[in-house]
Amino acid sequence: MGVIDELKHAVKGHILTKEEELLPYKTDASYFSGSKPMAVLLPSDVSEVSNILKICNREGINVISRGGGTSLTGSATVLTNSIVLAMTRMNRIIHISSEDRYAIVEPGVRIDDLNYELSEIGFMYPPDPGSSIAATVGGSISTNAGGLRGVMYGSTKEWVLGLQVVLSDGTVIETGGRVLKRSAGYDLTALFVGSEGTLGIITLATLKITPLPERIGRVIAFYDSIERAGAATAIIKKSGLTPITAEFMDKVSLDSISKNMGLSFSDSGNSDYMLIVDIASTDESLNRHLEKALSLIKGTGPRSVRIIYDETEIRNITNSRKGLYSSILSERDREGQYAVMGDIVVPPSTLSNALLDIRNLVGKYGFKVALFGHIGDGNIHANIIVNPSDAKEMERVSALMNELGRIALINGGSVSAEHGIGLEKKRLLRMEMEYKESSRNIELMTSIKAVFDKKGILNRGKLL
Amino acid sequence: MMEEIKRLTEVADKCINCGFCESVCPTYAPAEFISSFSARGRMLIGKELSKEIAVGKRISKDVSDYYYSCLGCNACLQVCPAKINAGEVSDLVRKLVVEGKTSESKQRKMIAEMIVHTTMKYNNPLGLKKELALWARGLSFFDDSPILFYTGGMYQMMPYSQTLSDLQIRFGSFFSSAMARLFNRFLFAIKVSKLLGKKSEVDKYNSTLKDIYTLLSNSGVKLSYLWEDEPYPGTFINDLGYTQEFKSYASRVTELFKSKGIREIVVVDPHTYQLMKYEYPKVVPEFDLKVTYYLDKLDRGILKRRAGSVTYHEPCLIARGIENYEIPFEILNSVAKVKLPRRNGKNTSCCGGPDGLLFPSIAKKISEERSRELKREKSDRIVSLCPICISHLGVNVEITDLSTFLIEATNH
Ligand SMILES: Cc1cc2nc3c(=O)[nH]c(=O)nc-3n(C[C@H](O)[C@H](O)[C@H](O)COP(=O)(O)OP(=O)(O)OC[C@H]3O[C@@H](n4cnc5c(N)ncnc54)[C@H](O)[C@@H]3O)c2cc1C
Ligand code: SF4
Ligand code: SF4
Repeated sequence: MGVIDELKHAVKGHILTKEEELLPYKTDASYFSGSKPMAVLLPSDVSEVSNILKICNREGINVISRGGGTSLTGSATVLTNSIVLAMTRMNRIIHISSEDRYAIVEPGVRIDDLNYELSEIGFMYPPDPGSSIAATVGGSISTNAGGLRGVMYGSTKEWVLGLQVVLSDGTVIETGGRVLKRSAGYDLTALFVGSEGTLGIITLATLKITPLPERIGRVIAFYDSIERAGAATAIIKKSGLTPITAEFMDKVSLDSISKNMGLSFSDSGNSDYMLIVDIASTDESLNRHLEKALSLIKGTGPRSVRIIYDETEIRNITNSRKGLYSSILSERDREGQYAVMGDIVVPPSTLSNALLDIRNLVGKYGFKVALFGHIGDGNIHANIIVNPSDAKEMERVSALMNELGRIALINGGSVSAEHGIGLEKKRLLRMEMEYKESSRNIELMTSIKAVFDKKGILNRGKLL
Repeated sequence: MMEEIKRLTEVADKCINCGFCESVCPTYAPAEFISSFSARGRMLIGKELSKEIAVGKRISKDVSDYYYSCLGCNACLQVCPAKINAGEVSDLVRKLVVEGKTSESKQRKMIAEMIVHTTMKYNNPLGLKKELALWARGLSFFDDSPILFYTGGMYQMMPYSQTLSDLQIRFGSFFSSAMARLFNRFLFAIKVSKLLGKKSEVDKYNSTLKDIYTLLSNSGVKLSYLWEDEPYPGTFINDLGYTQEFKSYASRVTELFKSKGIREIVVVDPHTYQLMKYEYPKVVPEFDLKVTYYLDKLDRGILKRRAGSVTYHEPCLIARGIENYEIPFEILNSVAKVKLPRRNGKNTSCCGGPDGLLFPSIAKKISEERSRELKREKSDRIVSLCPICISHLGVNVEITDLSTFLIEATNH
């Protein structure tokens, strides 16, 4: 029996080998074009995954696990001599316990689907990347995804209690479990979070869940100065108040929203920056907390600031923030253009300086760039409109990304906040370690990879 | 043709491969999670096709099933950050298939041609004639009225097409190809289809049409009717990508209406509304007939609020096809407590019906999933207003046509 036949048998016929069926799996949402895989396998349970890995390990075939394929860094992009393990058929929510506050789910469950089920019983799973409609639990664990609520709830790593993982030789292990506490040796669960499918295939996840907030209110502010806008969240946090989200948009973003979504603000006074701060609280204390946020923001010298009570306005702003990526895409004016997304993080107290440096940097390169981000946790995105097939343009993008990364590092942050490393940031990862005089970390990571995946068959060529 | 390729390139080039559309595309999970059967796959393959066709290649690979299985439901468009529509890509590729730019599945082709052929010949895809007007027996119309009550035969055909797709699921591809061959070569086989309608189902749909008639008549609208001469609007011919055939068919239908002195057409289902209102004017240059949805003619004063709750399955064409057509929801909301299912409004889910004849097993799974969602709301009733939705969901869940629900409300 040939390898493909063997794989076909392992996955009970759920294999794709025709060229036209393979085409959609070549790449993810990044700008890398990818290669056609040898086959795409769609397993339905852990034993099928295990059998597939046994065969691939024996044959030295590279295995790329894929969830929603929304990665922005090429972590799910196909390189040569690879098969794709598409996890979307494994999409059952196995169990939800509101008493013990966990949910056990298969890796192919989409984050929005999980949150819909949880919302029916008044709960939520907080990590909410902008791609949550399509991103899966497995993929978001593997990239340690963040999102809009990161300022209050942190990123995915805070919410994973345990995993079932198939190792490269087909062995199935369980890490962590259903309890909030565990002091039992190395934290292998944490090791898999953010590992981008390079250490094992996640086949089940036990996730921490939390009650939905009782009430959420919003304050918006407009600024002429990027430094002042940058200072606001740190001041709010210092006061003891933790916003549930704190988002930032620059003028390019605001203009694209107003052009594409028809949303403009009479009180913006043509300001260059907008800040959106959401406060979660109880019925009794919401107003008090909103007033406090309002007065703190006032102290940072915005052009205007106000609490929004009108539900429709709140909804419109939320929709336009969620649709920002879409609005920015509408600004493409040449064929083949993409939005390449920078993703760095700094401690919020340094945002003032960092944002100023970033604005100057972006101006220097002359690309059309929209600056926005989950500013509450110090996460800044720079969306650069470019044509990835234009090598010269991409060289300059790469230089810009380098400098952006350096700004993050100088301010005590990281070159990658929430999108992972993939193919795009391998060089930047090294840069970060060198900057911290910790190049040994790369050696440690390489050794860990070798322990888990001796033959190097798991998402070869990514991350390291 | 060049125009279609140009448009295909223009649309597909904007895709950033984010996969949002795949997560909402109703055909993806039922087709065993194969991406080519999802909006994302259709878009990416479309991109590849546009490149190849533009340099003069004929595509030898058979990709047609991916595009013929697209429901045209536009769920993908709602979530796409690049604001492009895989449904439109499917339309374009279907046209290219018909033009012979790519190869296609033989079995599916036979069925498609059968449908087009029969419609062109009999003014109805199933060759129905007498069956079309049974519902109206004993009802009175105003022959001189320029306002036409136009069913398009949609409700009347449902019992037959449902049985055809049931048979396809049971007997598989052999049945469909054998059937298609029969239809194409020996047109007398049309009679076979006429025997397929279950009596109880025929009565059910006929009674719905009567309810719509009663609502309009109680609202004081004076309507004419074409009885057995009523033509099918041509939805299938258009959906299957037979551009030329659709053009000539639509002209024929328009001429027929005009020859009868019709100035306004009152339609009773969203598919016919969409086609007549938006597609006819594109292909019939002199098309100047007014197209009205029957609910717009309703005197809301005749309705009374009723007890109990109702879950509303909003058809895709109402939520997404007809711009801002919120009248059905408004009316329903005024007579009962409405509970909306998870996917509602602009994000409503297709019932799967458009895949009924060509991809019955995909259609069946979509219907089962949507029915589960509707039942979850635990309302007293489930209501919709499209014969295809009613027919497809009706297999799994008890579902009432809005007109019947409103008739009950007038009697309360
Ligand atoms: C429009 C848009 C907005 C975005 N917004 C955000 C945001 O706000 N925050 C954020 O953090 N990210 C964001 N992202 C990036 C991306 O969506 C996330 O990283 C997401 O979590 C990836 O999930 P996925 O299921 O699509 O994974 P994929 O892209 O399919 O895969 C990502 C990585 O996970 C691995 N993987 C997938 N499944 C498994 C498994 N079962 N076991 C082991 N490894 C696996 C893959 O091999 C790959 O390395 C955005 C992306 C887009 C396109
Ligand atoms: S129109 Fe509907 S079926 Fe077709 S690709 Fe879009 S979502 Fe899928
Ligand atoms: S949602 Fe739009 S941009 Fe994203 S993959 Fe689908 S068609 Fe492409």
